[in-house]
Amino acid sequence: MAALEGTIRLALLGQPNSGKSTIFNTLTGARQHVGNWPGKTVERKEGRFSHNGRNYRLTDLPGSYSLSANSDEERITREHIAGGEADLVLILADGSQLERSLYMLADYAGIETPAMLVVTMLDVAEQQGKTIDLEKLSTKLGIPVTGVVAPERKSYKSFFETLEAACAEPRAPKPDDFYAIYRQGEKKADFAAALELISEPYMAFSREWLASKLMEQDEAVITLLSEQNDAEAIRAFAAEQDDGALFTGDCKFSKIEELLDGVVEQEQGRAGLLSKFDRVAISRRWGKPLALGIVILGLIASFVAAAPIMGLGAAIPPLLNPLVDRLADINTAPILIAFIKGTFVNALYWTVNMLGFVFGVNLVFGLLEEVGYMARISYVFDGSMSKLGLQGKSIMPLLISVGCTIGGTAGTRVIDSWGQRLLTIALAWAVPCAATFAVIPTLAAAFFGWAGIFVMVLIFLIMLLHIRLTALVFGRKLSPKAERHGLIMELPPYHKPRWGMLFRQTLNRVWGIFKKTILVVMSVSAVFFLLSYSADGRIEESILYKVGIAIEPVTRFFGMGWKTFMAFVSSMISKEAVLGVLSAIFTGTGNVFGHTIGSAAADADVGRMMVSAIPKAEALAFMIAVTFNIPCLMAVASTYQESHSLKWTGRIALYYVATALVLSSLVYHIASLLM
Amino acid sequence: MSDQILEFLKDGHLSSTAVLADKLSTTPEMIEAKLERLAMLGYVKKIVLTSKGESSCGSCTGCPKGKKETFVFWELGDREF
Repeated sequence: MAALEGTIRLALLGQPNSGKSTIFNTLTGARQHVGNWPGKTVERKEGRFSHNGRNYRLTDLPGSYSLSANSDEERITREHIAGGEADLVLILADGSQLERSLYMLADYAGIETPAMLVVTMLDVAEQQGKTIDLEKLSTKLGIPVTGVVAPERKSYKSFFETLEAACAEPRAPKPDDFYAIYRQGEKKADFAAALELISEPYMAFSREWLASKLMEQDEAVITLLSEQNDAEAIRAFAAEQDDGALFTGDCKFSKIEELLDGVVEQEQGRAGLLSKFDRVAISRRWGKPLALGIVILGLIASFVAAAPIMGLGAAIPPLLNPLVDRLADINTAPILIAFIKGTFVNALYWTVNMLGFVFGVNLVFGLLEEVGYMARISYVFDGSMSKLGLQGKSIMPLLISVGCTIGGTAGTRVIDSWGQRLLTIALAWAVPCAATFAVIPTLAAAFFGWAGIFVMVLIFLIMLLHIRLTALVFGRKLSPKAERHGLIMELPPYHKPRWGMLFRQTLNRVWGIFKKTILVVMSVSAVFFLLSYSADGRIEESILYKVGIAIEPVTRFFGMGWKTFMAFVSSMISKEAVLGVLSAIFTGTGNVFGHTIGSAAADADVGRMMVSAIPKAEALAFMIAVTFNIPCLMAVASTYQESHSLKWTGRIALYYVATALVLSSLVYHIASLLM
Repeated sequence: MSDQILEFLKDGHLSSTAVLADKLSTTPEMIEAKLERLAMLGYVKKIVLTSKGESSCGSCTGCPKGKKETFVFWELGDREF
């Protein structure tokens, strides 16, 4: 082809996010014009630039994945390229994902307009450990190839050199190289038949290009060919090509694989070691034990990370209570002093203690996610989902429920079957949410010290049994026979944790929880403080005491006294409310506690008071009951919103209250024998 | 190779792009590129699940601020193979 002369018309062609707009802006600067393509509402951007005394007019074509005519953008693009409006097409390909981005080039092959390949995102490719041999790629393609880091102007030196070379000797990708695969593939007969139907090329489209688009049932090409050839035969042929696009796609990808062979080198080193670990992490035999072990170790590590913050929390009542007592010196009413202690000081005490675990759990499990391990957990437990009568993708909402039951409930939208969706929601309720993972370890540490770790392990094991049982109970009606669908998951590559971001996220989370918890605990403490108040100071006259004593014969059956039972009831609203109730009951005016236990520990902090008042077996039963109770009021609302069934929302809620009480009763009676 | 991927999904198997790439003697990136193409043709669906930004989350602070836990997976689409 003859060298290009005068003002050279360039066209930028590339997939979305390939750096097209950045290159356009870098090359043209302020010399741009924005309008619409004739007769369309699609934006047309044109600009000019000069280099080495030569003028260029650059058109930024609409971003599209391929040259199929599925949209106005794609039709405009290919008509512009093949209609003689471009002297040279700059085809962009994202260097960090050439397998995907070279599809445009493979789809371009067969168009006779000269082209040049511009590989972008070279910096990202380098970070991924990839080395791209552009010269070799150019030799294989038969067209000039260059690389740029789109936002860095200094990286354009080789671009301009290659552009000048491309203008001096314009070339299009050699169609024979690409279409040889079509001629040897399993549908070679169809491809040959398509070629037979096409008498001659059209515009810059070769017969091969038109034949491949005919096999893809490209409506615009069918119409075009019908006008110039045997219309009936063209339409009849196209109608039979239901999976023709699969064949042409495979041919293009085969060519891309061939092009990349020996052109892209991936650094092995660290990746090799990690892939050995990954083989174990996702293996059928060892994947699950490894995941369980890592989760349990994660819980233990969370305790360790929480310890310093808990120490800070324990220091709050001894520091603040004497200061609050001094309010008496300025004639503050004793009831007000008690109110401040029972609400503000204790709310702060519980909240700070709880934040230790919020910090620990988020840091440890955030780290697992950050390094890319969490997706492996969902992968290895897919088989278990099948046993529960669920699709593999149900594991994702369940994993999200570890953060928040509401998020997990909303996440079930990806499940098509209503029954399986509802069953997944029912199971998601059994997964302790982040609030539970903060409240329960706080209580476990208060009652059992370091042995609280075993309480968490026990809860984890009960959760697995609960999920199994719940699947049996609800599965019969909601998912009588599992509809098994295949899944392919993208497992993110392992990478080094970004510690700064991890700590920032963890601290954000701690701050978010702090704001919510202090409000909930203070509000609930205030309500229960008022319920335990009586005008004459006699506890027997308070509403709380009267109700508590009345229900205690029943609550004892479930292993809980009336005080822990009231906290259990409040956990249906929000797990954090538990701390508020306990705080008010065990300090408050001191009346309830004083009446039931005695006032000896009046000056001790609320945690110690609670521990001395509640037997360990009851405490354990209470923690189990709270964990497996209704997650929170918002989760109930969310379940109704997703299921649109009041009946099933009610059933699931009742089921959880009942199982929480049964579990509590069982745990209490067993623990009473051991403790 | 696309038909092998589709057959694999039809048979109800679970795999990762890496494992599948190993089986089909290619790279995970190539499997992902092919899956994207199959999604455009309607043969498969790409599902990206995030734990943040769902409308029903309301004012719940259960998820870390600004954090998006994503699970990406592919399943059979509406177009029959």
